[in-house]
Amino acid sequence: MIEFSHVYKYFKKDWAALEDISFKIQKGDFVFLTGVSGSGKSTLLKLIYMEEKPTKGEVFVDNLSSATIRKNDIPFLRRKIGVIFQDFKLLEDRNVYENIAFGLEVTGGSRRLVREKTLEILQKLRLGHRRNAFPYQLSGGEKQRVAIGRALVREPFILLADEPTGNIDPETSKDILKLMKDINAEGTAVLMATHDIDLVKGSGKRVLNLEHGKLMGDL
Amino acid sequence: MIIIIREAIRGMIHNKMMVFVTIAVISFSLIILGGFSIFTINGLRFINLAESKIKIEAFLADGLSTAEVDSLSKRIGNIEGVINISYISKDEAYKSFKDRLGKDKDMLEALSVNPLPASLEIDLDPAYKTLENLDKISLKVALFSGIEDVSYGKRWIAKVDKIIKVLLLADLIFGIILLVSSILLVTMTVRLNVESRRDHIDIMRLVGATDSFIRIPFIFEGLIASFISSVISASVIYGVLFLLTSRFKDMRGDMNVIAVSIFILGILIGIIGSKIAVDKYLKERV
Ligand SMILES: Nc1ncnc2c1ncn2[C@@H]1O[C@H](COP(=O)(O)OP(=O)(O)O)[C@@H](O)[C@H]1O
Ligand SMILES: [Mg+2]
Repeated sequence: MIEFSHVYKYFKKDWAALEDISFKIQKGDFVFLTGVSGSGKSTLLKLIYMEEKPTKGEVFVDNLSSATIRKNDIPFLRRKIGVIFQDFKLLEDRNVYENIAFGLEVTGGSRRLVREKTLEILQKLRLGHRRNAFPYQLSGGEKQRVAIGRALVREPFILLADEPTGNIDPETSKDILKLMKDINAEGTAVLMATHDIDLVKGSGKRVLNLEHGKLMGDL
Repeated sequence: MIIIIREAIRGMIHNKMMVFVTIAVISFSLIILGGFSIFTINGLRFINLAESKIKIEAFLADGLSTAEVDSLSKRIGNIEGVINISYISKDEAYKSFKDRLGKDKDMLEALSVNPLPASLEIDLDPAYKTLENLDKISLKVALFSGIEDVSYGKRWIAKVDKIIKVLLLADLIFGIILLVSSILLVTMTVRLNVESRRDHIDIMRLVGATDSFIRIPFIFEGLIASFISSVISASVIYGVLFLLTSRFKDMRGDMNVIAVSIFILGILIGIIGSKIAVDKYLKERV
């Protein structure tokens, strides 16, 4: 469902941010993407939600190819992909409920559908009691749960997480990881970029390891 | 649709300062543009007024009979461009000259005979009031027997003609510059507004909003801001015109036309400016 085929990404001439990357992710997989800072993790994720295009090679996402997709189709691709970040990217002037509902509203869901889905997600992520709080009133872990809620409200087939625990203490990080595993258990594929080896160790999950833009191990 | 309006209003509340600046900038541009067009319209009217006073005077030889004058008038009336001819008798010429002299009329009265000739005042179609046509027509008139002399203030007209041409050109250039800079100014202001909400736009993109969906609230905001600005500046211009026209009778403004044009122009500037600004941002990133 996601396939990289000999993908290269150059931001500058004769310096590859990603070099000859090939791998596949199947429906419902849980995959870690590891590597030190600057190794190309974020770039790889951007290639999946097509904020960047490969310089060479081809990325396939859910039957769409980076080589042939039109600009107008990209929003529709993104509706099938959830993305979360280290810095949460929440709307500071909106409360928890509105932030989650936003993911559905901007794609034109009916009012009733938006309401039902948002309440369902709030409950699932145990955020119901915080639904009227604004981002500045939330802890890091809560903010990330809101971001996950916004990503999941459209029921994506995959959740991309770019260092989701980067701004969160180790205890809460484990909770977030547990949440991601729960989400995965319900059928959503997860690709989680992290440089936190402790989280990865002993998880028994597949690991794609990047070094200087090259895939050094697919364990 | 409800969501779009709500998003636009939220955006405006969130960016009160930016909205205020946008409204101030559009209003300012519109008021300058309006003032400029009032100036232009009145300038043109003044030129028209001056032109309507241009007439060819044909001085008649003394002692022509009424029949001879009539036939002269008829023949002059057949010349292309001539629309009216009025006969000024010797007595009338004397009287109006005396009136014009005012205090110095004794000078004229000291003369025992009336030295002024009778004349025909020839009025032309406005399209023929060019230097070239005046020359041509005067020459034709001068060739008739019974006409002593023809005059139309050639040097004065030549000068005015030149000044008008320069002024009209300057006016046109200035008007275009004003219009373009208003649009640029509005675009820049909206662009700042868009920049200040790049996070918002980026998040919309991330969750799969289409470009047109992202664009609409901004354009709607531009519409609301320019609507308010239009109301403000149209009122200001209307008020100023009202004061001016009641004070100076000769000053006219076609107040409603100007107010409505300013209004429409303001809304167009707002929408175009917003669209340019958002599209530019949307094009820069995916
Ligand atoms: N838009 C960009 N323009 C130029 N260089 C970039 C851009 N994005 C990433 N890079 C470079 O590509 C490399 C990989 O970056 P990134 O994918 O962000 O790594 P990671 O997420 O693993 O820290 C870095 O050297 C970074 O400076
Ligand atoms: Mg990164």
